Amino acid sequence: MAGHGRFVWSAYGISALVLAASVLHPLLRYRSEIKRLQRRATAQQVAQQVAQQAGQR
Amino acid sequence: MANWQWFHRLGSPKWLLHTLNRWLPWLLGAGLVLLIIALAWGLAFVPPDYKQGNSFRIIYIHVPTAVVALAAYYMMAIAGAIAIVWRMKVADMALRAIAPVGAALTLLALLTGGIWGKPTWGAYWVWQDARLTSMLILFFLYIGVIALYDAYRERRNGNRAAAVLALVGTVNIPIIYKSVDWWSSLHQPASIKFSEPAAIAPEMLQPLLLAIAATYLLFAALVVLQLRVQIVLNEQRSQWLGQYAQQLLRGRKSAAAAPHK
Repeated sequence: MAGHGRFVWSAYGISALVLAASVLHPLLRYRSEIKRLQRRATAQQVAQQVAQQAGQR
Repeated sequence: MANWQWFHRLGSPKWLLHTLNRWLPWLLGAGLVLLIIALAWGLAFVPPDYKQGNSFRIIYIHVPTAVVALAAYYMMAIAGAIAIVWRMKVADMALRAIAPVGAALTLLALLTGGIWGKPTWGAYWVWQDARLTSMLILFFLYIGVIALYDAYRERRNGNRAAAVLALVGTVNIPIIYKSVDWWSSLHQPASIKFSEPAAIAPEMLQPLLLAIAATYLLFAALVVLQLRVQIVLNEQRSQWLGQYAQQLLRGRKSAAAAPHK
């Protein structure tokens, strides 16, 4: 790059990092929130089944 | 009579989440592919500038991020206006989704601009320059909006404060745009104009236009990613979301259990 390499590559490098972070952060957050909802739904189902069985006895 | 169904559907978080999930891979994929093509083109296939040499190649990041950062601010302000006037909760979510993406784009425009300034002007930053200062103000406005919407105990009040700041700050956008014409500025005036032919060589311009298009697509993908999180956070007590999450779980389990054909 005729001496300008460090400027060009540092600019592109910072941009790649910011882009990667901008994709990964909300993506991982969404997945963890969905998993949290799934765990809560499963726990509710189990609690309901336990209550039903207790009611039958 | 215009069909306004799409506008009402847009207000439904459930419809929106399903639609966003469908669009996301296309927006992200197309944006990344076009960006890689544009940047490879700009880095390897465009001759160096007669004055600036190779440092001009930073333009392929600097201009697209700056252009989309400005457009994003307008979109955020419009979302804020819709939220205040129609009390639409999806509009509040859209404001919260656009703000961090706009902030990241503005930061990149500022950083790449500074890096480009060093070999070109001899300085990373010049305070007397109106374009640089007004872009820094844009960054502070984005940060201000982000700080406000989570600063109140009642989410509603935070939403409204952030929307008001977003609207008040729109005066900055024409200032940024015209700063290079109104004040004597180190930053060069616009090379791409609507009224005249471009002041930039066509071989340099073509990958730049592609990079701008790619950045708009990536902006859409990043906002979609943020908006999905906002919907899930907002609707976590609703029945439809609980069922949707369970459906995903069952879908994943049955896909794992069934032998691949």
